[in-house]
Parts: sequence; C-alpha cells; structure tokens
Amino acid sequence: MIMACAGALLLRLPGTGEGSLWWAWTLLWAFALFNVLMVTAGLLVYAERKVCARIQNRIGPNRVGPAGILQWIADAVKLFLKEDIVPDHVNRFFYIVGPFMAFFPGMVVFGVMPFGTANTADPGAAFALASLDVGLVFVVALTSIAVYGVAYGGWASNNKFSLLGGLRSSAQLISYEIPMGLALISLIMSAGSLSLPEIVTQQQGTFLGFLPNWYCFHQPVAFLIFWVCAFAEGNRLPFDLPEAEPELVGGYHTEYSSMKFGMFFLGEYAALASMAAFVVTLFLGGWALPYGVEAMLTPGWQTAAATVGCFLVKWALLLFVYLWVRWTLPRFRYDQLMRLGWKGLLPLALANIFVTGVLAVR
Amino acid sequence: MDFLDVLFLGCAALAVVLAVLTVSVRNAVTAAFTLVAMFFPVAAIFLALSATFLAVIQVLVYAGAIMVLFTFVIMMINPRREEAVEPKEPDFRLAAAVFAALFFLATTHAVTTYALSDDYETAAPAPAGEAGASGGAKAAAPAPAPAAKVDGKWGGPKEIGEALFNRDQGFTFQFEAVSVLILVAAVGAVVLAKRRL
Repeated sequence: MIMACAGALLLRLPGTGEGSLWWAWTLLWAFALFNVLMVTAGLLVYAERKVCARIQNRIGPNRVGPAGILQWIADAVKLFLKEDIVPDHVNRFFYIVGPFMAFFPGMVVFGVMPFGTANTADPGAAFALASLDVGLVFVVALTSIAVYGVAYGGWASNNKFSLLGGLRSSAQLISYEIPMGLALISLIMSAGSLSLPEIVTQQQGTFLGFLPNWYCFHQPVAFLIFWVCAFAEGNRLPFDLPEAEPELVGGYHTEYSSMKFGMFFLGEYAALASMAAFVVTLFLGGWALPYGVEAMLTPGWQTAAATVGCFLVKWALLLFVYLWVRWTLPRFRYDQLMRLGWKGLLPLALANIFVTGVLAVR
Repeated sequence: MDFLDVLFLGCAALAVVLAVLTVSVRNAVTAAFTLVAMFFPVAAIFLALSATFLAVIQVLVYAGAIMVLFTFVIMMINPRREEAVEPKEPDFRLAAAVFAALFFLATTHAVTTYALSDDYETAAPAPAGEAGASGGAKAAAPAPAPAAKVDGKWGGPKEIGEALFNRDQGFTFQFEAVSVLILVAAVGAVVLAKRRL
C-alpha cells in the first residue's frame, strides 16, 4: 500500500520537480506524509470513541496507556493479527482490489495540501508535497475515484447487504458530487485560481474590517453546500447510508475481515482527515493567520511554525466538529437523502453560481 | 532513452493492454474496471507532456464521473456472463479494419507533420486545445520528445481556457454547439427509454 501511494505520488511529479535528487526528496516526503496521515487516522479513531463516549455519558477506552491513548495501536495490532478470511463465494480479484482502491485516494489527496509556509507573501513557498497549479481539481478528481473501492468491494462480496451498500454508496456519491463541484465553481470564480497555495495566500487579511478574510465569509452558501457534500462523500453520519448497521449489517464491508476491513476503515478516516484539510484550505484560510499576525513574524522558521500550527489547530477543530455531528444527528432516510441532494443543494448551488457571476462580473 | 521516454512507453503499453482487455473480456464489470484503469496511464502521459490540467480532467470526468455511472448501472442490472452469440447484423469487421487503418494513418500523419515539426514550439498552446476538444486522448498524445521543448505552463487551466474561449480565435461557438448536441442526445435518450417503460 505504501508502494501504491509512492507510485501515485511519483507520477505527479515529473513535470514539477527539477534538481537531481528530487525523486529521493519526494519519496521521503511522501513516506513522512503517509505516516502522519496514518497516525492522524489512528488518533481520529481514538478521538471518535472518546467524543462519542462523552456525548453518550460514558467513559470510553481507558485501559491501554494513560486515558486509553494507546488504544488505536492495540486496535491496529489486533487487525493485523486477525485471520484474513476470503469467503468462497466472492470474486477474488475485486474482493482484494476493493480495499486498496478505497484506501489510496484519501492518502494521495493529502500530497497537494499546503499545510504551512515559510513566506506568507509568496504562494511558491508553501509547504506541500506537490504545488500543483490545478491542485483543487486534483483533489476533486481523486475523491471521486474513492467510490470504486466501495462499489467493487460490495459487488465482489457477492452478498445482498454488501451489494446494496455499494450501490447506495455509488448513488450517494454521484448525487452529492454535483452540488459539491458547483459549490467549488463559485469559489473558483471568487478566487480566480485553481492552485491551493494561491487560494490560501489570498485569504490573509481582514474582510469587512473585522472578519478574517476567509472564503467561508465571502462564499457562505458555497461553504455550507460544500461542507454538507463533504460529509456525504465521506460516508459520515448523517449520510452513512452505505454502511447503515441496523439495515445493512455493515454495508459494503460485511464480508471483510482482518486488515482488508482495516483498510476500508482506515481509508475512511484518512479520507475524512484529507477532506477536513481540504475544507480548511479552501474556506477557513488554510495556514493563513487571522488579523495580520503574520506581519509580526520574521519570514523563516517563525512564520513556518506559526502557519503550520495555525493549520493544525483549524484542522483539529474541524475534525472535532465532524465527530460531534456524527454523534448528534440521526441518519437520513434514503429518499430524504436524495431529495436534499437533488432538490435542495443542486438548485441552491446553481443559484449561488448565478449570484456570484452577477456580483463578480459587475 | 531518458525518464520521460520510459514513462511514455510504459504508460502507452499499459493503456493499450487495458484497452484491449476492455473490449475482449466477457464480464461487463471487469470490462468497466479495465476501462477505468486505462484512464490512469493516459493521464500519466498527459502529465509527462506538462498538461496537468488535462491529466486531472481526464481522471475527473472519465474515471470519476462517467465510468462511475456506468459501473453503477452495470452492477444494478448485474448481467450474466455474456454468451458468445452470432451477430445478426452483417459482418462489419472488414470495413471496421479499413477505417481503423485509415484513422491510424491520419493520426500518424498529423503527429509527424505537426507535433514533431519545429513549428510546434511557436504554436504551443494550440495542440492542448485540440486534444481537449477532440477527446482523442491516445491518438493526440505524441511521443514525449516535444515536451522537453515547451515550457511547463502551456497545459495549465489558463492556457487551455485561452485556447478554447478566446474571443477572437477561440472555439466558444463550437463548444456551446457541442454542449447543445449532448443535451439533445440526453433528451433523446430519455424520450426513447420512456416510450418503452
């Protein structure tokens, strides 16, 4: 799986990296980012269990390590050691390929996120594995690939529940990708760029005198639509119909065991983390420090530390909101899900593009 | 042979193998999968040509949108393993082979005449627009040699937008005409399907 990620990352770089050792740096960075994301996903599982426990007035995991902080490592070891069962009635090839396909987009997407900078005035100085000038479209393209893992995994399992889960997932992702893309179009109209470092650089300063100059204030409707769709794309409650336990026994991963299940599971959390980072980058200012704090810092390691810290804080807060929402809201019914997507969000997103167009063209 | 040559040959070979598999396997789900997989080496070829925008759009539109719908429908209908049936229509294989050969000659001529000539440097943005409009991804991807000549910017969204929608020499009218055509096709499909329901 590391190879899949590294290979995909390498593919993106022949046009951008020059220098003689760029490939070694790329691999090193990719490996480091991969590990950061894996640890984040693990901690997110732990955080989810703790937050859920708090919300339900329980204690949550507290046995492994202080306050249960090592629980996720124990879980990972358990998943690796469990017997890996491949049922007889499955389509072997797609059964094995499914988890990989579900796993890698969430990982690769993180490679274009600008998570800090050494110089707040220069988009080129952003820290990102690859500063693609089409980073925004790249992320959307890869998140739209993630559905194949779920769809093929569910289909290959040759099980009613799995197939239903996979089909629901495809239908849901198709429905919510459209308003998501349209919400992004109005953002792009505001930003005039597809480059993520560029978009973050634009979000410095203040808006209307007192708000940070973030795109969630410029484009509140787009922000709302995009965020709702991000929930749906991540199969999170209230949109977790693909795996709805009471109806589908777990949905597309019913027949999976051991680390194959673990890859679906971790992939989902990695995708969640990447999606949250994407929302932070686009709408919540990314690494941009609010209220001109960056002017007080000397470009270099001070700025670097402050911007990376700022990004991490926003990211963590947003992830907390994700967990909070999951344990607060009930699940949609299927027809409600479709009605919201096609009759609610889609016209709203179109109207938002129209309004943005009128205001932007003048 | 430098890195780009190896990348191109590898990706091209992979794309051809996957494309042949797409039309030759009997299982419809497998066919859809190989077609999806084929888009990635093609996107990698675009990347090697510094056409990042086209590469990403290739994945987004074909793999991320169109084929997801195909896969969804195939899984929903869940067709049985297709039996080898005798085609009722007259055998068009000879005619198909002739037209395929003609098409191959035409693209080879186009590539050798324009893409590999020295004019390519000066007219850099134009091939990007053509490749995007025709969608003839494999045919439009020449050997990666020219990639070294052009700078890394010509495949960006701005350049493609200029080539497509420039008020004086763009293709705005053609673009809109094609979108109307696609709309007509969609409406026609709905009307035809509804009649049978």
